[in-house]
Amino acid sequence: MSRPKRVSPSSRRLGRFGILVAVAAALLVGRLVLVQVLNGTTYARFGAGEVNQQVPLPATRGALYDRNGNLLAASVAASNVVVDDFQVTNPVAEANALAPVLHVAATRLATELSQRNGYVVLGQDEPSSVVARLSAMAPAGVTFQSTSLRVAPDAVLFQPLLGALNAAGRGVAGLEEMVNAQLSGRSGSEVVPEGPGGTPLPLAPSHVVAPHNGSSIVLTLDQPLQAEVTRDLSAEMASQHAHSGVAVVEDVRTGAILAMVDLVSTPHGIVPASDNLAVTSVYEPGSVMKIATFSYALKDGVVTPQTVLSVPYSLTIGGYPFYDAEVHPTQPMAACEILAQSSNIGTIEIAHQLGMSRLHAALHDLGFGRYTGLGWPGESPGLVGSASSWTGSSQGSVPIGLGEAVTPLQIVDAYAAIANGGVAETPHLVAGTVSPTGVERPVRAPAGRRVLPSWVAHEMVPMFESVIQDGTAVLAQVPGYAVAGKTGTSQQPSSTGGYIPGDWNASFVGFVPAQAPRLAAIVTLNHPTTIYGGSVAAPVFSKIMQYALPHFGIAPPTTPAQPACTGVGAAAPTPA
Amino acid sequence: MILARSARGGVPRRRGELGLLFVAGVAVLLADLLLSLALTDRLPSHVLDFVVALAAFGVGVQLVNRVLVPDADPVLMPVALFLNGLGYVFLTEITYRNPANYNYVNNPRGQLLWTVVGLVLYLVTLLVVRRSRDLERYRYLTLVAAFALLVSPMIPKLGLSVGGARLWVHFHSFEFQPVEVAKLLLVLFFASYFVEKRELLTLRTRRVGNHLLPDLRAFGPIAVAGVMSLLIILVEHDIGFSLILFCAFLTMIWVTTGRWTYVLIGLVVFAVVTFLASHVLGQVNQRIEVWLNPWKYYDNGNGIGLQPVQGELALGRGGWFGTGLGLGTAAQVVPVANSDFIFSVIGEELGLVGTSAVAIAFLVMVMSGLRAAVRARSEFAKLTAVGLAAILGFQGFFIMAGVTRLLPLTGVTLPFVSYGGSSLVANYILLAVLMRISNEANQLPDAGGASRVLTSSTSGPSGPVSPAGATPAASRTATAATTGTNSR
Repeated sequence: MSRPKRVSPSSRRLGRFGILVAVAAALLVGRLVLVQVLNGTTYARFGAGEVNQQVPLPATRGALYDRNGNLLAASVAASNVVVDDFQVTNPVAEANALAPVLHVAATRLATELSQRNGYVVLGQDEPSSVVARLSAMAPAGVTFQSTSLRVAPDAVLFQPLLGALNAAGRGVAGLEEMVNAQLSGRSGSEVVPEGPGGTPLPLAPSHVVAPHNGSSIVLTLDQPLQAEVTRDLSAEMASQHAHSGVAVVEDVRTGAILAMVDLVSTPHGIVPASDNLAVTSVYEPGSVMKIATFSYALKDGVVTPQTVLSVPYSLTIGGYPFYDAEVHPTQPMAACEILAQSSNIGTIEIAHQLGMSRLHAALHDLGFGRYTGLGWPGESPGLVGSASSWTGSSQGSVPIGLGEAVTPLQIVDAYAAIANGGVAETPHLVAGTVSPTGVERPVRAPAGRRVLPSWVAHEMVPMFESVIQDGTAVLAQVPGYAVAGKTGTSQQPSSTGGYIPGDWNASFVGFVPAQAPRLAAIVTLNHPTTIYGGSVAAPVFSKIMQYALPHFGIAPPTTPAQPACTGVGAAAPTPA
Repeated sequence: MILARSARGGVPRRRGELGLLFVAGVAVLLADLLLSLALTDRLPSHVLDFVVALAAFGVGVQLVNRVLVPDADPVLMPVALFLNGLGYVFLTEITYRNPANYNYVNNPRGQLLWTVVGLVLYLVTLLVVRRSRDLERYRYLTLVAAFALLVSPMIPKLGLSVGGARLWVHFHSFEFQPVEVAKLLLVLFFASYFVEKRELLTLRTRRVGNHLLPDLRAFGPIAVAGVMSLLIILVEHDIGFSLILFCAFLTMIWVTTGRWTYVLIGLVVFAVVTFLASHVLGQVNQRIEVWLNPWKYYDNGNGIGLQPVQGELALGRGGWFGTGLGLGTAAQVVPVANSDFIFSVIGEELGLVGTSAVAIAFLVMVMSGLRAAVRARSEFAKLTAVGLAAILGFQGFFIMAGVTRLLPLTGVTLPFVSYGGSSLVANYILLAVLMRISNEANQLPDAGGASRVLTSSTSGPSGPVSPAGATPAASRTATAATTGTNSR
């Protein structure tokens, strides 16, 4: 112990080497501190999401109801039935077992189960009852993938309105698209760290964002009325061999759409159109457009209902001849008669006095050539053109509803504005929402806008009444109620110029009760056998209203109908 | 009391070793249980087997050491158990989470088998090598054997190339990296060679101008080492082992002669060799470029930068304490995580604490080796211990430094931790030789009171030897303090 220590030179060098080793270790640990702790968060951010799988937690899509709470569309849980056919030892036996449950031929199933591909979809969107039966059988290799299925119990009535979902469950047409944001809610997610084979790591922290289910939507539509309108329109289309038909019923006081029916004829019969034609398809309206000329001529004092004009049978404007529907000698006609008899020449004369720029303003104010505010995806604003784009002959064509394109909804909106004392309510389909927890919340109807002074509206109503009482649309009468309205008969323009021979549009638009209007409706038929709106569309209007008025508890007003047109009375009715 | 304990020979050391083995075994067992809970949410079905295996390891090592090397270092084998066990647990995870990539041979069962083989060879080595000087006898035979092993991957049909590196020989499904054994043989050769030529290497006999330089023949070994390195690089297409062997060689020659000239010349030689090799082998330049900027070679996860980038991201995700066993991502996203980059998986799941523990475990092993060297009475034993410790240390350091991008990646296994049978077996043999030398050093009756006192005081009251207290630097200071004399 007391002996002085002798350290050999090589041992001293070993000591130095030891120091070198310690320094190397310190460097390494220093680097680790730098990488793992000091810069760690940077690296951690880079590397997040490397293995983490984000599993979406889908939100349940909200349902669609009519105004009475009838279910129009809802999502129900369903499953895809998938089989790993490598696990199937006896395809024929399994096919025989599965066939009655899946309603697929056993021979076809046996083929499917023998294709050795590992992932065979045997059934898509199968209801839970099928899943329950299959689970009980526990067939080899069969697994279920949950999906959701959109069911629409009254698809035959509402299909053009409901629209469609894409494979991802997002609304891509119709109401499903229009209110997709409310219906779909917010899907949640779960971040699960997973192995490459999809092996989840059970103790790994998973971050869950719960889904927020979609709200349900209560629509303004009335299912029984929709059924009635469909029945009436379909019957008329059948008897008239019409190619398509559209009918819209609107509450004039609120703009709520109560029924909206789009039908087409197919070799298999009359079926719902693939699209909501009332909003997306345009046509040349014809005489129903005379509302613009008359209402603004009254408003600006150009004429009164009793103003008498001298009306010839024909008139040449801008190089084009215009005619009344039936030959007649030049005769004096009161303004109200001109409307009731749907005289083209008389209307053109009044429009001439009004002037084209004011006529253009009238069309614009009444909602033509612009969106209605319904918010429908794919809605057409129609086409009116600008006053400057109008040619010489436009002075003759525009007042009588030629050379412009409108949607049926735009027409019924304009008439509803007259019926509502000059205030155009914005048409709408959504009445309210129901939150996922069941709280009902009405949606405030969009604000309306005044398009005409009320006195003009009040003067217009009797003129439209006379159309029904003794004009072109006596068939639109509803027993016990005073009806106001207008017929329209027009041709389909040809893509090569001019019109397609024989391709007519017959329409009627009107509202009841005339004294205190509540409901407005338009009925149009494309390519009917009988071409006149007064003959084919007006009777459908009458049937619809005979059902709708008592259905909504609208009693006939006690106030008597205003006196009809007291005109010159020289002309016979001329349908147009 | 100190003397009494010393008089009873190795018992305290073995008792300390038993305690350390127990601690290491419990740590590994806990890691295995935690991993199983994380991956499968329940305790492993093989838990009893695992406990038995760990106990067999500990008891077996303890018995062998008590009989064959009672006075040997008490730290080496417990640290080996810790690293080997930790590696096994991580290999289990990596295999579990990449089921498609690993076959029976290349999985933790294979590692378990190799551990058994390694331990058997540890026993065999201790039985065959009863005295360290036994190893000195066959100097040139060792050299020839080392050469033969080094070139063996060149033999057609026997050699096997993996990832561009021709490091393997194989018989059927049995694969082996001869370089792992060759590295031991080369250390033995250089140790015996240096011992004999020490005078020649040290004395300056040649006058050049005003300076005296060693005889030219003295540079023979450097030339041999240089050729050997070049050979390894060319044959194996891999720079890792070449670098490690050369560093170990320089350490040994410096410890022998104390001449920096050799180190400088050696580094120049190695630089030239590397430069020459880089013309043949794109790997060298590539490794340096990837080291400097791995993102440039990331190429959306298709480039050669993928592994270092993912490894570094994994280390970063680990932070202080890691994500927890089985809860990291590196086990899946780092390519070939079971081999060179297993350190990044440890870094992610056990954090800085885990990586530091591994780094310190290596430090402890190297320091234990150096301690054996300091105490060794024969120069051969001393140099052999230094060489073996240096090989273990450099290999661990280079791969850990490579994964952390402290240095360019060298692509060697992390001893005891990475998957690799030959590495594991060779390292257990290496430990056997170190243990033999350590045993001799501690047994010699007149090995010098100072070192004996030191050993007793550090492994005495506080139980197991603490690594810091065992460093030669510290021991010298401690000795100086106790003896009250300045050794210089």
